[in-house]
Amino acid sequence: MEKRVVFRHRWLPYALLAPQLAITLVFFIWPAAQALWQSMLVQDAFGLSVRFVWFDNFTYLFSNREYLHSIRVTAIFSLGVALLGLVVALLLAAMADHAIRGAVVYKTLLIWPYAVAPAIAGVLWLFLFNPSVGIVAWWLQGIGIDWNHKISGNQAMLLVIIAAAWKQVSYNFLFFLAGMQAIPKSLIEAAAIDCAGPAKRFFTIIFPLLSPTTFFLIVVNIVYAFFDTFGIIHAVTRGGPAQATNIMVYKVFSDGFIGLNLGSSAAQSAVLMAIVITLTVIQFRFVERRVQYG
Amino acid sequence: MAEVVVSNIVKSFGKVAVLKDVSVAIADGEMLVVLGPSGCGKSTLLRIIAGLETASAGDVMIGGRRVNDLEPAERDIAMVFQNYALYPHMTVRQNMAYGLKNLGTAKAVIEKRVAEAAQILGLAELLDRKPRQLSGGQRQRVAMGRAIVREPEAFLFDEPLSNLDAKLRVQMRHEIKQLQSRLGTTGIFVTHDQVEAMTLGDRLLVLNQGVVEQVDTPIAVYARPASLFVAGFIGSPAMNVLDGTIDGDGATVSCGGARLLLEHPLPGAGGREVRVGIRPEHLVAGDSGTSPPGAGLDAEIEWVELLGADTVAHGRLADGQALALRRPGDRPVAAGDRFHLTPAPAHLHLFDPATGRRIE
Repeated sequence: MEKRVVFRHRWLPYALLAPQLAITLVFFIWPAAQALWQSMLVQDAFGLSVRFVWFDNFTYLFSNREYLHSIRVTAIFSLGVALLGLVVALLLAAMADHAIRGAVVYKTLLIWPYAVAPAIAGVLWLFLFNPSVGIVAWWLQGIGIDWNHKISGNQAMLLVIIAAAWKQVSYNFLFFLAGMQAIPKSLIEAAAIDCAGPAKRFFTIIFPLLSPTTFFLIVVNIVYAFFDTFGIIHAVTRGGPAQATNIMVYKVFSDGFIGLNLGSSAAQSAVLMAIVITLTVIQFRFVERRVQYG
Repeated sequence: MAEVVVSNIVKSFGKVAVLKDVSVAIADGEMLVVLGPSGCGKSTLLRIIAGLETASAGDVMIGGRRVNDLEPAERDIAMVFQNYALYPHMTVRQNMAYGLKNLGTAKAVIEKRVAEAAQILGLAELLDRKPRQLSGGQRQRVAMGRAIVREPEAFLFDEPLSNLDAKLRVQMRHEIKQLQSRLGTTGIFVTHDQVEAMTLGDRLLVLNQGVVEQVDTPIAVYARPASLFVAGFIGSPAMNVLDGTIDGDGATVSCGGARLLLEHPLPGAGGREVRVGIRPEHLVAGDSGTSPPGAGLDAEIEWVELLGADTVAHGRLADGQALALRRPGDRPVAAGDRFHLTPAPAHLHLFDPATGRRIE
């Protein structure tokens, strides 16, 4: 049955919605529209004149080697973050699901990293991996790995992936744990009687039943890696060394606010806008389909 | 197919003892129904046999093999759960084949067995459906199918019928009974429903607070309940239990203002306080004119339940003790009616008031 609130006055619902609409308009729609407009403008080097160039900024972007490189970096980064974050969270959730003693403490502690601001998470990992004073870098040196993410692009990438994934593990963990606890215990018991060992049980019963959760988390994690990791990159590598960690969202910032190429920066944000819209559509289209138990 | 022997099983959760020294031997091909109220430990007993719980003490033997330390999968049993526990992401076929596949059974064998089971259970048309597309009764059948394709040593049923509606329950009860006897597989069926217990079991085990009250055929449990608990639990409406005293000669019991003849005299028991059990259906109305005075119970009816086929009349004896009697539905009974009741000596059950055990 449809539930519908009926207002007595015609304008009341609009008045109630007005504050939220105003915020959305001023802080989201207006800047977004401005970015779209700006993405079709080119400014001269001194900021004296502005020219409307249609889609020249976009054609330039997609023929620019640096931008294509940034796309590749972003793909590696976001897949890395999603994969690492999901696998670790799944492992932890599977263990938390079994834990009997101290389960509450364990779960609470696992949620904490989510409350840490991205930039702080970045600094934290930066300290740990600092080539001269970081304890993890020192350990790595002990086993013969020369860690210096300020020189090695791959190591820098690894570091930002670890830092970004670490923060997201908490979130993923919560969803996986909830998903596992929603699986009726008798299903697992039935599988135990049906001769499946713990590992086989996990892969043939638990993991398939978690697939809606997993899919939802993949999308959420990719969105996170694309858009919410600016702080981490800024604190840890600033996109370097040699563009190795210059993900798209960071490039928007560095091209626009440091390089002052506002037109290109705006075009890049328009590209990101298109990506986030696509991901949201995928999310709504497919995540709503849920597995039924029992 | 195998004998299942449970010996001296004790199970405690922390300080709470759920099962206290439970022993029973289930013969090859026999269907044992474990009956008891909720919380009596019957499901725990089944789960210990399945290997889903570990007993605090005692042994479980399946087919002469001590299985205490074996995983559920290694015990060669199949279990049907109350909520069926079908794998929602698999088709009916995959659900049934899952166990065999894990055992590494050849594909052709799996296909043959699944097809056979589907044939027996009338699931042939539904093999490619997912559980959520099935009705309750069909899911129940798939759960049965999953158990029988394994061809296990024993079937374990954990209240499998309690989620079905009344009509379907009767039908599935019949099907399970037929299937089990046709396959000749040992079965253990846990339920709190006495009708299921009476109709399904070759033997009944009545469990109360972790203690075995009685193990016997359903009819014997009904006819000769071993304790007050069993007497009250089996039969509907429940058996009347009256306070009484054995008379001096040991041949009669005084109860509710009457002296009722005992089937087997109890010489030397004169003056002993007892509880006298009489089933409502055994309280037959005698003619007060012909029987000697004091030979029957005089009851006045207070209220009546008309059940159609039967009428249950609730009344009181002269000394105020309540009792119920059952009469055929076509004999009108009304509040205020008086009855002179003369139950046959064979239908009197005597119990010790302190221990609740039957006095023979």
